[in-house]
Amino acid sequence: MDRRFSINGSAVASEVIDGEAIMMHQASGDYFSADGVGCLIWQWIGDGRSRNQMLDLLKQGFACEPAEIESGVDSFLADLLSHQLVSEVGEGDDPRPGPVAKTSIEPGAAYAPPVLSVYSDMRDLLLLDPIHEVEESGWPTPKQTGTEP
Amino acid sequence: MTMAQGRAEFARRRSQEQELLLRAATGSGGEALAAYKAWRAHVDLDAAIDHETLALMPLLYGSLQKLGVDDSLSGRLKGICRRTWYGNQTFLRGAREAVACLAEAGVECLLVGDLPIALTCYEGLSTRGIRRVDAVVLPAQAQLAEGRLRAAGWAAGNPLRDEEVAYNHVKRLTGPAGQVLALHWHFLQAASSEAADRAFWATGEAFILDGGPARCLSPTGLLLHLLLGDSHPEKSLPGLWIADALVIIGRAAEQLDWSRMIGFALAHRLAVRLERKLRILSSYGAPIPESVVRALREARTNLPESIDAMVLGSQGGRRKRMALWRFDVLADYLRSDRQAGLLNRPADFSHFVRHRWGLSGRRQLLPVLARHFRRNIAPGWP
Repeated sequence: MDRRFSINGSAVASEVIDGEAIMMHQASGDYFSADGVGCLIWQWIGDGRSRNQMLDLLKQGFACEPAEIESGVDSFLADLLSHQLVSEVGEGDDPRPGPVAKTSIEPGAAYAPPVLSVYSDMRDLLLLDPIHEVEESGWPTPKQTGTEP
Repeated sequence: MTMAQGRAEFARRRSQEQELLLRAATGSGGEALAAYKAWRAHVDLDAAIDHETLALMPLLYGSLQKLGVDDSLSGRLKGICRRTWYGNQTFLRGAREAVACLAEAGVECLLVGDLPIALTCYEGLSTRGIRRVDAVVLPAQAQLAEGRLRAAGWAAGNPLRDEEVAYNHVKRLTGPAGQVLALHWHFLQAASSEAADRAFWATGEAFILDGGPARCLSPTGLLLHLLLGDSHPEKSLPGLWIADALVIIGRAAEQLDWSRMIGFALAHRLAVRLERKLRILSSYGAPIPESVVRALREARTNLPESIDAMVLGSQGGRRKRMALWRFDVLADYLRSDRQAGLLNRPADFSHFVRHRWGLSGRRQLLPVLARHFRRNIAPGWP
């Protein structure tokens, strides 16, 4: 049986910046991000695609074991659900139509399982100097101290 | 090198860096790339980064993406975009609640400044940070608006008094989550008059603020307000207003009503100020019609604009500009709605100055003037 989801639009704000989906849960203030396949899935959910449709697209786009893709997608969807970023909608329900996103998979791209990064300690993260106190990947990843020899 | 020479060298270097950053963030093609390379060569990223540089970095990231530049700074620039987006999201909630609170009280409100610029002119909410909410209400509703916001949890110090409404134009409030809301009852500090306000109210249009209804200025009104709204260049972020103006012009070039802008500037004796800002924008490649600049330049001179010309044309560096900016209050007074008779005018002007300078009473005027004279005009004076 297929499953369909919709973004919790009234409680979640999101934007895609250069292939990375960033989300914020309005009630908790928690911040989330997902890039690569995770960003594609987020955009596909916004477009109203079902789980099976997303799996088909990924299987067509990546040369890897279908079972690996399925487990990665299901785990990612479970994360989105547990953080109340999306809701599961019934087969008969039409999810809120989202904007048409640029969601093509680059030919030859390697598959990496989708990961939802979760940041809850926003008060501390907002105090970080976004140039000097973060890793090279940028805010909100704090610079690791004490790892250098 | 003396301390004064050191300060001058620091200011010159900083202004050169900001110029390069602005051109890299707002320009295109080879010119933007060359500016970026020169900026990277100049800037010391290990040192503290000033607010203006940080504010322009998301725009710089977008520009570098278009140029295909991906270097060691890209990740941190993208991080600043994420942080800007997150900060804006938290800001929008507070702003929507404030606007809803005013609407429930029947207060007519129009948003100006950062918020409508970020929401209606830039793509997405990760490029332009919102520093505060600027809400304009009618002078007759200013006290009602302040009272309702206070009841909704916005801290505002003492209740807004009649005298403040009469002589001032804005009051700053702080929201429950630390957001700043500037409650204005005139659109411009430089021309706090009913006629100037009416011209802005007439350009109001609806927009969606975080899913709720709100009103802001049309692109013409937004640009005019941006160019004339902050009359004190030392307080504003110069690079940011230029970037904002370039984005508005780039996005809404077809909708801009230049003749309306000229008409407003001439009617309210703001032609000198507007012309100067437009000339700056032209130097950044903004397609400002030459006829607009000419019409403003040929405007007949009057006392407020003569003061503006003197202040804006001063070449004596920051100290001299600061000295002169203290006295532009006379130009603002002449452009305001003050209707005092000839005999009452000195007293009325002193009230105006004390409110504009944020003094608790007129008795503070003389000490402040004396201190200002000693610091900025005649530093060697005993």
